[in-house]
Formats: sequence, structure tokens, C-alpha cells
Amino acid sequence: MLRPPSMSIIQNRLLSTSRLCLNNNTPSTGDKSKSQAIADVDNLLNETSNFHANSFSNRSKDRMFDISVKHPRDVAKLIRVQGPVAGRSVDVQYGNFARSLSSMFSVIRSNKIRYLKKIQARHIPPAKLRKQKKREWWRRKFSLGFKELMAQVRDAKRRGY
Amino acid sequence: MTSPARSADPIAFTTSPTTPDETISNIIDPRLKSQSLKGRKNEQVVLWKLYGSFHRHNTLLSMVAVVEDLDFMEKNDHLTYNEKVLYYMQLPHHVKLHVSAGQLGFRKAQRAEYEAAYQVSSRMFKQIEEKGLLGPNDKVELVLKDFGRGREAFLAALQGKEGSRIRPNIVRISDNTKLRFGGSRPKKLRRL
Repeated sequence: MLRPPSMSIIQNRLLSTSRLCLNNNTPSTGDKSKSQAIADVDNLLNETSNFHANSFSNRSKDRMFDISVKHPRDVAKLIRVQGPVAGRSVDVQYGNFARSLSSMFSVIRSNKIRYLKKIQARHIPPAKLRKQKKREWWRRKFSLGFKELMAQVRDAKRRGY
Repeated sequence: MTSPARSADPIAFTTSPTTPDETISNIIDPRLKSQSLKGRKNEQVVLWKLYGSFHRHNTLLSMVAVVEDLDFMEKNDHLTYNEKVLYYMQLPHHVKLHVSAGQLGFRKAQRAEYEAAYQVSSRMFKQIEEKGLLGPNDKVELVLKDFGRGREAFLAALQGKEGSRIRPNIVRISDNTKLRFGGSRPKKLRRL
């Protein structure tokens, strides 16, 4: 599998050396360059043999396989929790049960689990559901605005108006 | 199959090196067989789960032991790797205690009341203590389902005097309320 890259390296280098030989085609330097090219090829072959020795000889097949295979227990621990519990679990930290309970409540509130459970219990016709959603949106908005107004009134009263 | 081939196979997971006289893999080890016949199981309780179902009509609590067989890998050499992972993913759950409002003498609509749920919870905590199920370092997970009146009663009992023994062992709380995504049409709205 890892053979093609090394072969291509050899081919490239051989090509470059042959190009050098072609460029220096004057008769006086011909013999010299030829001997040099042969020496280069020998060096290159030595290098590649070293490359092979370093990458493969000290790694057996079994050892590589041992690293990749985990104990089934460890694999099972890494698999995500599925079903309704996923995303609705809270760990108790430092033995503080009350605090984890309150964070559990906040998870339930933010995901509207109780509300959804309630409206899913009985069938609501689509037109009614649409109106119900509008009504709920309006009431929520109104109560927010009213609270804000009351806060303003209280603030003004505190200042002596 | 010869023994050197088995030991070289990395998926075999043999903890002890096999001697040449126990090389036949499709025959169950007689020692293991005799162990299982005697009923001596090398099992360990990994954690406890306290399941609570608080629906409109009743409160149900069950104490469940999540058990791991310590010899599972040796006993089930024939299983595939994925099957072994599935075993560890969903370890066997053994129900040790179960209490519901009907068991305590609450009948019909009385089972749905707050008081019934409070008594169910306190009975459960008392039985856990009496039977000595929990050690000092045992872990308990709470798995709560649905939003009946019993849920508040259970949490009140757990945070009060009744649950003082079990409370320090709780390591996780989770909500298991099932929500629908599409599906069949629910019942029509009740008109009273």
C-alpha cells in the first residue's frame, strides 16, 4: 500500500538526474557526468532502503491491531445515550442534591416538557390549536409588559413621585 | 483451531493463556459449566436505579440493580464483538423492590392522591434501608417519568426526613417523560 509513493520518489529523482545528464552533453564532461549519475542512483537506492527499514521493520502487524481494538466495555461507555433521557440527565455534583434538582427543573422548563406532555394528552383540532397558540403568545406578552409597567410604577413610587 | 493461532488472534480476548488440553473452542469449559450449575455467579452490582412513574392515576416506584457478569468475556467467547458491546451498553437490570399505591391499601381514585404517593415513597426508602440494599459507596440514579401529583410528593419525601439515608447515594437525576412526534391521534377532549 505504501509502495507507490516511494517508487514515485525514485522515479522523480531518476528523471532529474537523467535531465542533468542530458544538459551536460558536451564530450569532455560526458564520462564524468555518467559516473556521477550512477553514483547518485546508488545513493538514492540506499536512501530508499533506509526509508523502508525505518517505516516498516519495527512495527509488526499484530501490534498495530492491538492498539486499535478496545475492550467492549470501554466502547459501550463511549456510545451516546439515546431515547427520552438523552439531554435530560443531571449529575449530582459535590453531593448537592437540591442544586441538581433545581437544574433538572430548569432543563424541563426550558424544553417545555411538562407543557408538551399536557397538550399531547388530548386531541386538539388544528384550528383550535392555532388559536390556542395565539392566545398563549398574547397572554405571555401581556404579562411581561404588565410586569415591566408595575416595576416602573414601583420605581417611581420609591423615588417619591 | 490450535492454541498458538488463538493467542495470536487479538479479538479472542483470552485473559488466561490456554493450555494445549483446552484448545477446542466450541465446547464449553466444564469448570465454567459446573460453576453455573452450582449457581455461583461472579456478578457485581454496578449501580442502582430508582425508577418512578407518576401518572394521573397512580405512583409506581421500583428499585433496580444494574448487574455486570464479571466472567462475561470468558463465558461468551462465541459472541461477536458487537454483541459484547451491546451487553455492556445495556447491562441486565434486576428489579429488587417495587411499591405502588395499590399495595398500601389505597383503592381507586385514592391512588392518585398526594398522600398515597408520599406513603409509597416513604415505604420504598424504608424497605431499602431494612433490606440493606445500599452500601455507603453505592450509586443510585433517579429516573422519573410523567408529571402526576405523585412526583412532587416523591421529591418532598426524598428531600425530607424519610429520604435522608438514600439522598447521599444519588449520583444522577434524569427525566424519562415520553413525548410524541406525530403518531396516532390522541383521545378527544373531555367535556365535563
